[in-house]
Amino acid sequence: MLLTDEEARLLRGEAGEGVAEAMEVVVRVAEAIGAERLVKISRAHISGISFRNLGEEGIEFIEEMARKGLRFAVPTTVNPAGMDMENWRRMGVNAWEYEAQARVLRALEAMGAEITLSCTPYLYSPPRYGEHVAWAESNAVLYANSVLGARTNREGGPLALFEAIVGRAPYAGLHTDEGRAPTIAVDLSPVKRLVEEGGYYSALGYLVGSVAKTGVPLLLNTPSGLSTSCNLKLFLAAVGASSSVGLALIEGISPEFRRVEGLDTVALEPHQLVEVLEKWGEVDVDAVVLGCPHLSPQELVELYNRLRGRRLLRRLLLFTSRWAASRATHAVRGLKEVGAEVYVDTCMVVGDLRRMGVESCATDSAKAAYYLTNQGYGVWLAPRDALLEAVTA
Amino acid sequence: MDASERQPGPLRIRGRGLVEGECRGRLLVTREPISFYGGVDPETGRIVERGHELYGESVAGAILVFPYGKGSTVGSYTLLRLARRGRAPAGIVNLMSEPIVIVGCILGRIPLMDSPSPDPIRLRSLIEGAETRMVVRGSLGVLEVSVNVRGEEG
Repeated sequence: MLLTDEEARLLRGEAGEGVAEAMEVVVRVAEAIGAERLVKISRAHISGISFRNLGEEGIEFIEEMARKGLRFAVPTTVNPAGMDMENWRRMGVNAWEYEAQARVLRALEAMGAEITLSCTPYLYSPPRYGEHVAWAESNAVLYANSVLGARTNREGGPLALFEAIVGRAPYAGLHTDEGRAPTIAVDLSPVKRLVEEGGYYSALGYLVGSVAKTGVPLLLNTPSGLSTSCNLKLFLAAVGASSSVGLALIEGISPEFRRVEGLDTVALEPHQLVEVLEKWGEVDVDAVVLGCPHLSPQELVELYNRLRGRRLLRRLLLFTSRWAASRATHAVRGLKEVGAEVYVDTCMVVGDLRRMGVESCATDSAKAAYYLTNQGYGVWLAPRDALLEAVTA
Repeated sequence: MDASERQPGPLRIRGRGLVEGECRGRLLVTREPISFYGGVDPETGRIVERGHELYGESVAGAILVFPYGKGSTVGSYTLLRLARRGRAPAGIVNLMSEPIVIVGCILGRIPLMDSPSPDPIRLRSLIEGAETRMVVRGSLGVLEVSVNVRGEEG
């Protein structure tokens, strides 16, 4: 593999042993995936920072890096943590767990990260078209590549941490022009009407991912409502949950979309979409959980407008970023008055719903449905409008 | 096949070196991918993924052979945690390593190689449990499996 003089010096340890180890990680991965060189990145987003998956040893490891004086070379943001860092007691979290999470965040902050604790960096730190970034968190990777035309692989949480330290990523896959060429065409026209009428954008994303599995799908005859930011977020997050896809070229949405001849084409049939919906059919639920991906300021306002003057028949748990909540303070206050519980810094997947008294829940996110099912919850997946209709009076 | 390989002696498996180091252990082989996050107990090294063919087995101290990693990328931290508790595999051999395992092996200082030839997963019935030495230097990885092999099978 070709390294610049500067990269070779970093690898040799001229900027310290910690940077050398970070460089070794990035170079080894680059070699393994067949990259010929590294590419400079302009920003990074790190996932996997919950104290639960790091464990004591992982927390110590990150603290050691901070103590050694390691710093992120590029602006770096972070994914949700295991709890709301202000209202953790309301989530049933105990003091030692809070302290474990706070240690992780203190270390990351000392290294220069902005403690955004949200899976939606494309809202608060959006890259420009063609910009190379190193993002972990599959929904963010899909949004950056497919909607903004920025370039990142699904780097993975730990890898993105090291890429942020060295300011570089392997130049392979979705960083390259060749890696961004479509590998399969997916024709959405047979399910277009069903999706538009029912609002099944998240289920559609799950189905697209299940069919494409990997590579770069070219999506043709897009349902009209997909272009709204809320539906697009839900759709892409679901693609990421059911596949290893990091870029979908979507007609009418992706800046790099163009029709390509000679690709294998699959058409999605209505019965396939119905199967996804039936997989998570209606069950009795303790709560409705929204915010996978984190709700945007606009979504908070829309939710408030919808719920104002109504009465909740079930608990409504909303997950958003501190950034979004601070831009929709009026809506957040109003939502709380209606009885909704609003949490920031965390979500239903990395948090612990059971501690909050939830055993089964309804959500509009197929990504959340997938992960919560794996965690043993009963889950009902339905579009947001239908859920709100069902749980309000 | 040259003359030396017809002699009884350890079976040599060569591959691409990814993380340097040297270790000994018994071979633990599976043809199923492993999810380190959620699939392996980070405190004991036991495989806890239901339905996995190694369910209940411990990876601690073994030279673990599996096709590739799967699941959440925070699985790298599971390898780090196991290593710091002394419960990590002694070495890892993949058909094709992906970033979860590569990053985890660097953090945990666990020797790693991939693209092994001959394919140890195919030879599983012959070599499972055999005492093995693994050496990774630069881009070369070698397994010396202490089973007596003859030039021709059977």
